[in-house]
Amino acid sequence: MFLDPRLKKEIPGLRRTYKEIFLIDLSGQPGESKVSNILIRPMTRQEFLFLQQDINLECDPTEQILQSCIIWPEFNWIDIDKNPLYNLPCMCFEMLSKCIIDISGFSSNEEIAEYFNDARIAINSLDSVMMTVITRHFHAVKPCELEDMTLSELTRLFAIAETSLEQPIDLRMFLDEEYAQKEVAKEVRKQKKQMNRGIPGKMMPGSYRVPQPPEGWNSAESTE
Amino acid sequence: METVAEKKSKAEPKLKNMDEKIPGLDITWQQAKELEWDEKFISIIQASKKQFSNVNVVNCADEWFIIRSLNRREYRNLVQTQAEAMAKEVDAAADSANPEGVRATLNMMSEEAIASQGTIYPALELDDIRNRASGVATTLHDSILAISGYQSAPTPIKV
Repeated sequence: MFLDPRLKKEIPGLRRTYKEIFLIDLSGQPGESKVSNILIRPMTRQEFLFLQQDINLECDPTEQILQSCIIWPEFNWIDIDKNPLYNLPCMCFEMLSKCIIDISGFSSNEEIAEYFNDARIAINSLDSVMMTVITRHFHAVKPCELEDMTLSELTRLFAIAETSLEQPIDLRMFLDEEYAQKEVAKEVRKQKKQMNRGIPGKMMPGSYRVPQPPEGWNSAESTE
Repeated sequence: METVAEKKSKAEPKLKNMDEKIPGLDITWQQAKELEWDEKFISIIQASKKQFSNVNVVNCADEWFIIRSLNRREYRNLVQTQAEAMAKEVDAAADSANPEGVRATLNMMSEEAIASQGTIYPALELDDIRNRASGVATTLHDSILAISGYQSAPTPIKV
């Protein structure tokens, strides 16, 4: 893969600005665009909703998607004669906009589920637990504000927030894998015991059943 | 004055090995013969490939057409011209009893415009397309758009 040397310098800054960026290598593709690499970003939910409205009105949103989501290099979208992307074969625009829709993920439930699963896995880390505990305790603090704090600031807030919990966080759960597995197994056994004793455990959809009436019982007779 | 290379290239067809690939093309002289391509047609393909980046040959209604991809600028101009035509027709269609028919006609006009612009040989004016078999415009239009994309779908890499 060919990586434009100018791009190498720009990537760190652009990643900090847009958080999530993707590279597309156009070298070796047909056309005379003289553009070897482009960087794209995923669409936001609002942008995706606008896209759906455009499609409903039979408007072609292709160029708008590229204009919003190609973050490097900068193209002249007003004067298309000065925009080298317009030298690409015409259907390349559709293919590039499809790439952007795909990385945005909103178009399919599978993609959303995959992202959600990744996020679930990530939330089990000590870092994520800290964030959760802090935001539960300090309602005014937004998760995005926590991103701008240093570790020492975060741990200080975490220590205060932890006092609101019934039990302090067992840090060994994150440091000792064997211990963590034992503790999880212990918790599962405890939950099973509670279930057997009839103590309601975790509510699961569809797990609650209305008991059958006793045999011979007739609602019509009882009302008379 | 002919150069030695030019003289050599003129003599080449007589001396050529039929299993050899035609210079600049992906097929052999034998395959070209089976396709009934003559020397003139082959030289037009060679010249077209030098001039345009993405050239293909299509057979439709017993006729060979040399087509090329359209770049986005050309495509956009065609679409814009069609949109202007549509705006005029929308006013006309307001009184028309058949708006569906107007739309279908405009789609056909768009196909013809793309077929005309993307066909290198034979040079096709709109009237030339309309005088040919009815499916020629659609086949050329579809083939031109099919070659006007990436050969392989671009893959985004997270960086």
